[in-house]
Amino acid sequence: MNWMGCYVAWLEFLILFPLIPALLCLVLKPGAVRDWLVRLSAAVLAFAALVVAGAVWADKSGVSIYTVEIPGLKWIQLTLEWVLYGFLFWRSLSMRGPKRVIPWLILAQLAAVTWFEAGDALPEAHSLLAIDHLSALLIAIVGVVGGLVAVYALPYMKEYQEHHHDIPDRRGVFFFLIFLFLSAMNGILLGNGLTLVLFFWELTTACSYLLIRYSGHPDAIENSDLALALNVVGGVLFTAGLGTIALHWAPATGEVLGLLNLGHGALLPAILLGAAGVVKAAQAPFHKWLLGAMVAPTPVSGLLHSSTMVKAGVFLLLRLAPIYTHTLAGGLLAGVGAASFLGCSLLAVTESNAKRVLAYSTIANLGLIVACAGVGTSEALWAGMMLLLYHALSKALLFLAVGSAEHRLGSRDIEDMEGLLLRHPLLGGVMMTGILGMFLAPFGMLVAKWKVLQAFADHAPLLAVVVAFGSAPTLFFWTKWMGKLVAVPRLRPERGGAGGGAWVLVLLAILSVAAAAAAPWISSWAVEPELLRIYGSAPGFKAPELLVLLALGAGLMALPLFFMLFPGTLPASAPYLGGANMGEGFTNSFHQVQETRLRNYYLHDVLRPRSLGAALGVVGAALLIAAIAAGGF
Amino acid sequence: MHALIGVVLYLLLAPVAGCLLAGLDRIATARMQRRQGPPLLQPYYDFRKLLSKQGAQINAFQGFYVGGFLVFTALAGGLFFAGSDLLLVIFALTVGGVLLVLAAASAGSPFAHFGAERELIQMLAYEPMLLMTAVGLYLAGGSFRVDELLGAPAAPLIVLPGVLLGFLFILTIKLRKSPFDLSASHHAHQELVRGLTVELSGPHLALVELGHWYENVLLLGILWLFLAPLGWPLAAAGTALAYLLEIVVDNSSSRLRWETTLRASWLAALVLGATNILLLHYLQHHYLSGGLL
Amino acid sequence: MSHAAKSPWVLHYDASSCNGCDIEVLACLTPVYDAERLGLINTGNPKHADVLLITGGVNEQNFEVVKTLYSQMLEPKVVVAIGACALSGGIFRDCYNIRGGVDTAIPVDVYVPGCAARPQAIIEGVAKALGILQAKADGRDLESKKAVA
Repeated sequence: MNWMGCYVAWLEFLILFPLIPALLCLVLKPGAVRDWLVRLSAAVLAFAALVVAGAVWADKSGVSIYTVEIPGLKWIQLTLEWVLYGFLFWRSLSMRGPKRVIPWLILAQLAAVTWFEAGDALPEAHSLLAIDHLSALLIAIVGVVGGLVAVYALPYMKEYQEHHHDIPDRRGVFFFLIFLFLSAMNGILLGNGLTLVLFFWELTTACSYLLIRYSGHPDAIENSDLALALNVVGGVLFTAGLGTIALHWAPATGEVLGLLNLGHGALLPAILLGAAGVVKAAQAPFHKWLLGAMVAPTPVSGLLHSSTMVKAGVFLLLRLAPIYTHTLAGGLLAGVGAASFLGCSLLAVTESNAKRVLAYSTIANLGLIVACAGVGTSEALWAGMMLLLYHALSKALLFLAVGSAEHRLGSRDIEDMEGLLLRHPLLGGVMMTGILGMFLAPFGMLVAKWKVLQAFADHAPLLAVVVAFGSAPTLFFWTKWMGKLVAVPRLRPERGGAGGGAWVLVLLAILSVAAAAAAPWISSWAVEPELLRIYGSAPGFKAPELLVLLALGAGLMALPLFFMLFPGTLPASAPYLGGANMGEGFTNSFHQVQETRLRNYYLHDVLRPRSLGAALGVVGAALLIAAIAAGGF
Repeated sequence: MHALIGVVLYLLLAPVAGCLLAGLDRIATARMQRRQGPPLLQPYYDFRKLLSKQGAQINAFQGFYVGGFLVFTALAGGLFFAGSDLLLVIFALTVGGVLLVLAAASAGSPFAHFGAERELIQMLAYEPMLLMTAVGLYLAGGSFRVDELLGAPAAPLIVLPGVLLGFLFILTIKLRKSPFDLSASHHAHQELVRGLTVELSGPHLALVELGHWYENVLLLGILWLFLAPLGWPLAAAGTALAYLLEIVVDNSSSRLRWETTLRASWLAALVLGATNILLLHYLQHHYLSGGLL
Repeated sequence: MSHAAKSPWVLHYDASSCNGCDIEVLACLTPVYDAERLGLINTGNPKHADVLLITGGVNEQNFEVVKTLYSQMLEPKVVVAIGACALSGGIFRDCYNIRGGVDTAIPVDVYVPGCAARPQAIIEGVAKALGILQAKADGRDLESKKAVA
């Protein structure tokens, strides 16, 4: 099968095609035509992504690099960068407080980028595009999850506009941004030229900023500014990394893969790029922007802020991981991830807002992946890549489910989701599958506790200790949530939204279960070849007991789907309450019926979220600065 | 082959051993309180009686959760006695624990709700130390696998005193002994402190008891790993002594508040477990003298 | 042959007792009398209990509660009414709020007289109740075997 020749066309297609539906969505009026455009484009993108990824997995030969001959590409890129940075500069002028420095950072970044490209300070990148198993995995995720979320967003945003009459209907812009983002995301994954990747990196920042700002409410504006500010800092770190190459403090290369070829010699730029990845992945001390981004409409949270954009950050880290192996700088970077894992898992325990719990959990999981990248051994990287896949699937599912629950119930508070499994079996069932996938089935708890602990126990027991402490709270808050879902529901008023797009949820749930069950094959086709190429050895599913657990875990994950088909009946016997109060509600000693609520524990007194968050920021900042310093020496 | 024999023996004999252990526990407790106590087989009579009671359930899925708890706990023990990876054992055990919590949470009754929350706090308290026990045994014995740990040249006990103490600390929690019996106390059977099983009755309760027997045998097995290379008479004596110590602590202390339990457990995990592990790793890498270290 | 009588789990409920009989019941569980020799455990939960030890008379407030507790207990079950008040209302029998002894609310299997009832009498009453419990359990076994056959 000779894919090689037409291969680059597919890669270019993945990057350029989404621009077409993006622009069309801007001009088309709301209606069936635009809806079908979105659906078809999403399907085409998903299909193309799977074809490309499938070709890589079938090939097994390693990295494929491609040169792209477009005359004047350099100048086109530079012009687009001027437009992009100009736009961000203009937008950031309205920032106040410590963020006033942001416009000047953007200008500095623009100057540096112009110097890199027009001034030829960076070597020319000969092969602009590249694909290997790592990017193939993420291409598949972005294509499938991106497509599904885009389709889900159609009925969701329609209902969103109906519920929020004060928000102008800019759904055309919304879908424009979604497709533009998908294009940029593919650019990051497939790009090999360093400045090209930086361009797409900042493009995703812009898309995220505009999408968070969608509702136009004060909290959206404030949080989009925060997201922009912090992500600009990340961009500056990226640029600084390229700057070290331009200033000859590091060996000269213009390509990402070039850095890998240089190995430990390219440690300083690699750490700076890693720091940029840390910002993008919302690790400490930059975690606040992801929390704030939760004010965006749910499809945005499900797409950008859990499965794709933040994954770009860890993607870069995983890519550069071989450079970090056995270095102090890499270990410190891993420490940033581990600290984020522990801190954000504890903070998630204190939250009752479902989206914030999911945000903290996302940061925690990304922290684990960052820690794996920082350690940089074959085992750690295997764990990181597997975590990447399963987290993307389950988290997207959970965000979309929470979005539907919000429309259905009128609230995104976990306390209001009591008995969801019995009230709305479909919604409750897919939500439970998502939660089970997050921490139970193979690539939540199992990898976190098994391969990660094994990898860390060998080289960095301190990290293993932190992971041990961090995985306990994850158990706590997920089980707390599940306990609410399976409880006997009390009568509660609901908003009663229609909740369209249910089939997307079911499909995602089935995909998660299937992916969990197919883990051994996914490992050997999609992950291990990469590790064999880089390290010469690859862990996998060698142990038979693991297969037993896998089967049981996948079975357990599928059970909520089973509950959906055969929903339980209402209580057969009444709860014990001292012999009294058998009926609905609680009758007090004045024979009045009182409303009762059973709330989960949030451990605010023990965990003190504000102090904990502040401490997390300090620890993260210290470790990151130390990592950069260590990378320089 | 050994693995299969181990699993079958465990699945068949662990209930017996767990039952006798529970009986000995109650007799020892009674004698410490200067009374006669029940017959040795009393837990067995309790089990049989529960099985024969009329069943009642609060919702349609309770049986599934309880059954799941039993299956995963037995699975965890089976994996352990098959010589498998210790982290997988802990993982399976945790799954079982979560299912038990869901059984309580699904009841929708206040006592069961609080029992579920308190059980979760217990799990939050012991999980770090449990994982660090595995990491510690790995550093001392060179492998996460139980069959390889049994063949270690020297007793992990010698280089892991902190981890062993930490494990004994959380063993008190896992065996549901005072002062940490927050959710399913043996002594009081009421309301808040028995909240986990308040809404379970008859055959379901019998299955939970059975699960606890399987779990106790597994926990003592993990304790055995610390002592195994000393030879089986010493290891057995050590394990028995440790269990007796747990009973003494149980009888001589009163229940702590859950905040105190949580803080004390994490502190113990940090001071006893983490310090031991970090020290051991440091010594191993800077004094590579092979052999014991 | 079930083991109902060898593992009697008790629910101790004070209906409207002055606590005199309750103290005697609790005394049975202490080391001097040590009812755990018989396998007796005081559970506070009707769903776990086989034997309902009830003291005090039934009044308007606890009438429903006693019936609820009894209904929440699972078969096979026995009720032991302890003390004069539980038997017939005792010296409070003619009060405006007392309906009478426990048998005005639920069927009673064993009556233990006394004011307060002595621990020895209580234990003997419980032992008698266990015999009845065993008979009920066997009867259930027989019935379920008949149903199967």
